[in-house]
Amino acid sequence: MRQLALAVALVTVAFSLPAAARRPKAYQRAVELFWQGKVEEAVALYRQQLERTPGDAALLTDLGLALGKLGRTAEAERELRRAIAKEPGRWYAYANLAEVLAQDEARFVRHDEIAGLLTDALLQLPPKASVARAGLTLSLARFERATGRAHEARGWLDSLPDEELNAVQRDGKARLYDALAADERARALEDWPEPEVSAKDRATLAEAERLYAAALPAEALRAVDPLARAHPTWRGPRWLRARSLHSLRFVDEAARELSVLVRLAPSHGEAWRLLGEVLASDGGLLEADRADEALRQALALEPAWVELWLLRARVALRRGRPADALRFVDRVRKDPVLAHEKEVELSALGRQARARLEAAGAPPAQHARAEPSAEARELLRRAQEILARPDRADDAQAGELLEQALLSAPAFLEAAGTLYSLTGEVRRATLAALWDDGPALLDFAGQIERLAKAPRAPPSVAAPSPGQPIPAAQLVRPWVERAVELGAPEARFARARLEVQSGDRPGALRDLVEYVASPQPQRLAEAKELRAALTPPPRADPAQVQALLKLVEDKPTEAQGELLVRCERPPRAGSEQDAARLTALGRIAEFNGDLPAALLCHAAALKLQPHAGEALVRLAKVAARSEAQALAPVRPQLEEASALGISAADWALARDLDASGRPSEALAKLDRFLGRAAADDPARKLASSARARILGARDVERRESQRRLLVASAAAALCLLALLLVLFHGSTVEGALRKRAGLFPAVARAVAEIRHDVIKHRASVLSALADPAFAAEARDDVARSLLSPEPTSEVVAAIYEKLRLAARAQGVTLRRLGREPTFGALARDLRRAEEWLRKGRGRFDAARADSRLREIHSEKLGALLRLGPRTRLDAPAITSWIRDVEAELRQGGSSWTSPALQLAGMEVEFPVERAALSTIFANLLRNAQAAAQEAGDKRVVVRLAEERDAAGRRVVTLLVGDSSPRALTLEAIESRESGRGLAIVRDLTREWHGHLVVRPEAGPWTKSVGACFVALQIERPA
Amino acid sequence: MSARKPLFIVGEDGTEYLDRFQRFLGAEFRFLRAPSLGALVGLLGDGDAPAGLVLDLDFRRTPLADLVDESGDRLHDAGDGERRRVTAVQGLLILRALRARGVLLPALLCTDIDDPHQLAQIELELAPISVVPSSESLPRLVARLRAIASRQG
Repeated sequence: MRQLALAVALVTVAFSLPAAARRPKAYQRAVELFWQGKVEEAVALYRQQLERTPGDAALLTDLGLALGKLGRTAEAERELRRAIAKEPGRWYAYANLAEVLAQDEARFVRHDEIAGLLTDALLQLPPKASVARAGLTLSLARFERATGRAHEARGWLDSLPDEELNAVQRDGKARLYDALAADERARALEDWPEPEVSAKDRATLAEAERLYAAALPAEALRAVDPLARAHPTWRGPRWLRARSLHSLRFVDEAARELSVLVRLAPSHGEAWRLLGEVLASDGGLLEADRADEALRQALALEPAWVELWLLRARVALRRGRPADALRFVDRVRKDPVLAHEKEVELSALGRQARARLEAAGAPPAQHARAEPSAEARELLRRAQEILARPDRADDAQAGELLEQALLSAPAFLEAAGTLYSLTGEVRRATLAALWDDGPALLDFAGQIERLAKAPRAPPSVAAPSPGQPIPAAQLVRPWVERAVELGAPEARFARARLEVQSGDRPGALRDLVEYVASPQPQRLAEAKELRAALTPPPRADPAQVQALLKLVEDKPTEAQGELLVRCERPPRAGSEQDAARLTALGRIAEFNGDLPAALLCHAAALKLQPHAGEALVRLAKVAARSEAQALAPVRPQLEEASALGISAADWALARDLDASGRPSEALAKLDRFLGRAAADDPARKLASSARARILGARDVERRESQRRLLVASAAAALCLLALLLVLFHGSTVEGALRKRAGLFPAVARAVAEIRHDVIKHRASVLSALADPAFAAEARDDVARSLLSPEPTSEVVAAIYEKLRLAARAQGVTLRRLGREPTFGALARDLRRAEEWLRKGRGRFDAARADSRLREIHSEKLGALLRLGPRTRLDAPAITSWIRDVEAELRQGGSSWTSPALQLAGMEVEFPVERAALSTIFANLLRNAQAAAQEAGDKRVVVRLAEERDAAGRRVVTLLVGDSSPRALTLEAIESRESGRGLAIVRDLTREWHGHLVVRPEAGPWTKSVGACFVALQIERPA
Repeated sequence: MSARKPLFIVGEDGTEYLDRFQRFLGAEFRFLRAPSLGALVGLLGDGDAPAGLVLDLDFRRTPLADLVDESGDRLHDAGDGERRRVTAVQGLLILRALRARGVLLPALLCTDIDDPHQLAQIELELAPISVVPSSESLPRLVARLRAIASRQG
C-alpha cells in the first residue's frame, strides 16, 4: 500500500514537473530530492518555499504528497485539504488525498467522508476534463479498493469508457481490474459465517469428537450425521464427519465432505491438508490437479507442514511435471530432519523426476525475468504521470524518463509498452533482454497489440529503425515465432491469432490443433471460437446435434425427443439420416445403460442401412457388453461385423456361442478376438478367462470321453472275452482225450452211439438223395429218417451233452457243441440237412452232405477212437507192480506167494489207461494171493496173452491164476458188490470196454481170473 | 409182382435196418426181420428162399435166452459181462452158427472192422460174406443187394 501511495504521490510530483520548470530552483531541487528518495529534505525545501508563497496549492499538494510518503498522514491530509481549499479544481490534490488516506488505519471509519469528498470533486469537474475525471475516478476506485469495497471500485472502473482513456489510463484501469480480481480471490479465502447452534448440539458434537478420539470412527460418524444434516453449514460436524469417513476408508465420501468444508471455510488448513492427502493418495491422475491445489492451500495456511512438499512432489510426478517435482524435493531437503527421515523416498523421487526430464528432452529454457529496479519503476511512474496530463505538452520528457527506465531495466515490459505507446518504438535492448523468455515475449506482444488499438497509440512506428510504420501484428510476429520456438505454452494460440489476421487459415488451424493438444491450454474456449471461424460448419443433422447437446447436459430423455424416430417402430424404408438418428438413439440408450434398447436401435439402423459402419461398430460394442442370452437376434449383424474385423463382435459371438452350448465355435471366436483386440481392451481378461474355462471343460470332456471309451472298450473286451470263454471255454474232445486218458471210455461210447444210431441207421440215407434213382421218391423218407422220432442233430447234441457231463465228472470241461470240431461240425451238417428237409425248399447239396458225413465226420469220429490210451506191459513193468502189491501185503501182515510170470511176448499193449490197468492187476493179484493161501501148494501165476476171439478180433488178456481149490465163476464175480477186490476189476474192465474171464488152469494152478480187451489194430496217431 | 422181388432176411435186434431197407429199397426187394438165430432159422424154413442175409453185429437188445455163444449154443445164466461180450458180436456168432448148419446164403455183415486181419479171417471163415461199414451209402448197399439177388436168379 505504501508503494501505491508513493505512486499517487509521484503522479502529483510528475504533474508538478512542468510547472517546476517555471518555478525557482529551490522547488526544482525539492522535486529532485523527492525523486532521489530524500523526502525529508524535500519536505524542508517545500516548507521554505511555502513560507515565501503561502497558500500555493501546487506546493501544498507536493508537500502533502511528501508528508504522506513519510507516513505523516495527518500533516499530509492537512496540507492537501489546504490545497483543495485554496484551489478546489486541482483534481490531483483530491487524488493524492485519497491515496494518502488509503494508507491510513482510519480509512474504514472515514470511508464515507473521503468517498463523499472525492465524489463531490468528481461531480464538480467540467464536462471536458476527461483526463481529470479519469484520473480522479481511478483514485476513487483505488480508495474504494483500499477500504475493501471491491464492488464499488469495480463500479467506478466500469464507469470509465475505454474510448475516453489514453493508453496509460487504460493500462491503469486494466491493472486495477487485475488488482480487484486478486482481491476477490483473496476474499475467497474468507470463511462463510457459522450457523447458530444450540448448546445441546455442541454437546453432541463434543461427544462425537470423543468417540472419534477413542478410535471409534464408525460410532462417531453415526453420532455426527444428524448434526451435519441439521446444520449443513456448521463446519464442526463436517470436519468430524470427513475425518471419520477417512478413517473408515470411505475416501470418495471423505473427499466430497472435505470439498464442501473448504468451500465453507477456506481458512481451514487442516481440511485442505486432509483433502490434499486424500486426493493425492486415492484420487489418481484425474484428481492430481485438485490434490496439488489443496496441498498448496494447506501449505499457504500452514507453511510448517513441510512434509506436504513431499506429497506435492509425488503429485507433480503424477501430473507429468518432473521439474516441479524436483523443485519440491529440493524444498523438502531444506528441512534437515524431514530430509533425513525421507531420504530414501526423496532420492527415488528425484531419480524418477530426472529420468522423466531426460526422457522428455531438454525443457524449454526458463528465462528468469529480472524484476525492474525501484528506480526504473519510479521513472515509469513519472513518465505515466506526465503522459496523463491533458495537454501532452511534456511527452518528450516522459519519453526520456522511459528511456532511462529501460536503460536500467531493458526487460521492463510496462516501460517498454508505454514507450511504444508514446513513440511507436521498441528498443533493441528490450527485445534482446526478452529474446529467450517465451512467456515474456508473448506478454509483450500482447501488450503491443493492445496498445496499438488504443486511440492515442501511433498508427505504427518502425522500430528500431525509422521508416515505414509496421503494423503491430507484423511487428510482434517474430516475437511470437520466437516464443513458439521456445515452447512457450500459449505461443501457438498467439501465432494462430496472428495467422488468422494474415489470412493463413491452414497455418492457424494447424497451430490451434497443436495448441489444443498441448498439456494445459488456458484459452481453450477462445481456441474453439477461433476454430469456428476457420472451419466451415459441419453438415450435421441439427436434430442429432441437439440430441448430443442434450446428452451432454445429462438430459437423455430430451435428447431422445430431439431425434423424432423410434427404435421400436423404425421407418420401413428410411433415409440415411433416419438410420443415423436410430444409431443416435442407440447411443442414448447406451448412455442410459439400457443395452437391450441400444441393441434394438442399432439393429434397426442396420435394417435401414444394412452396412452402416457406425451402427455396426456400435452394435458390436453393445453386444459385447450385453447378456449373452440377448444376442441371438443380432447374430447375422455380429457375423458381418466380425467379418469386417470388429473385434467386439468376436467377443459377443463367442459369448453367444458359449451360452448356446457350442464351446468349440466359441473358442474359435475367442481366439479371433484375442488376436485382434487392443492390448488394453477390458474384455481381454474376461475373454482369456472364458477361453481357459472352455479349454478346461473341453479337457475334462475329452478325458471323460476317453474314460467312457476306455470303459466301453474294456466292457467290449470283457464281453468278447466272455463270449470267447463261452464259445471256446473248455477243450475239444481230442484235446480232452490227450489230457485225460480216463475220458476215453465215455468218448468211445459216444462215438459208437453216433456211428450206430445216427450215421448208420439214419443219416446214411442222405445218400439216397444223392442218387438220381432214389432222389425223386426218397425225400419224404429221408426226412422221416432224419427228423423222427427226434432230429439227428438233437441226438448228436444229447450224446455230446452226456459226454460233457462225463468229462466234467473227471474234471475236464468240454467246449460247447457249436465250437467242438468233431461233434459240433457233425451236428451242424445234420441240422442243415434237417432244415432243408423240414422246409422242403432251397438249395441243398445232398451228395456233398452225404460225402461229408461218410468221409469226414465218420473219419473224425474214428480218429477219436484211435486216441485211446495204450498201456504197454512187459516183464519189468509187471515185476514192479508185483513188488508194490507184495510190499503192501507184507506190510499188512499177509502172507505172500511169489507169482510166476508168463508173457506172450516181449510186451503186450492194452487199450486201457495205465492207472486203471494197474488197479485191475493189483486186485487180481491180491485176490489170487488170498486164494492161494487156501491151497496146500500155494501157487500164483501172472500171465499176459494175445489171442483172437470168436469174432476174429485180436484181444489182449491179463490173467492171474492161483492154486486155490475153491471154484470161482463169472456169475459169482458179477454178483459181487462194487468197491472191493474182483468187483473193482469187474467194473474197471467193463468201463474200459473189456470183459472178465475166469478160466480153468492146468496144475499146479486151478484157475485164473483176468481182464480181456479188444486190441487196437491201428497205429496210434502221433 | 411182389412175389418175384428178391427176399433178404435182416438179422438185427431192433428194426432200424428193416425200416430203412423197406423204406428205401422196398420197391425192389423184400425184407424179413429175424432178431435171433432161432428166428432166422425159422424164416429160412418158411416159404420163399431168401436171396441173402443182412446181419447186424451187435444184438444188445435181444433177450439173453435168444443169444448164442461161439459154439452156437444158447446162452444160459450168463452174467452181465458175458452177455455184453456175446451181444457185441452176436451177428458173427449167428452167421457162424448158420454156416455150421450148412446155410451158405450170401451175407452182408454190417459193422466197422478196422483190423484187416480180422476182416480177412471173417471173410475166409464165413464166406460168402461182405462186411458193410456203417458209412456205406444206400446206393452202394443197393448194388450189393442187387448183386446178391442176381446170383440167386
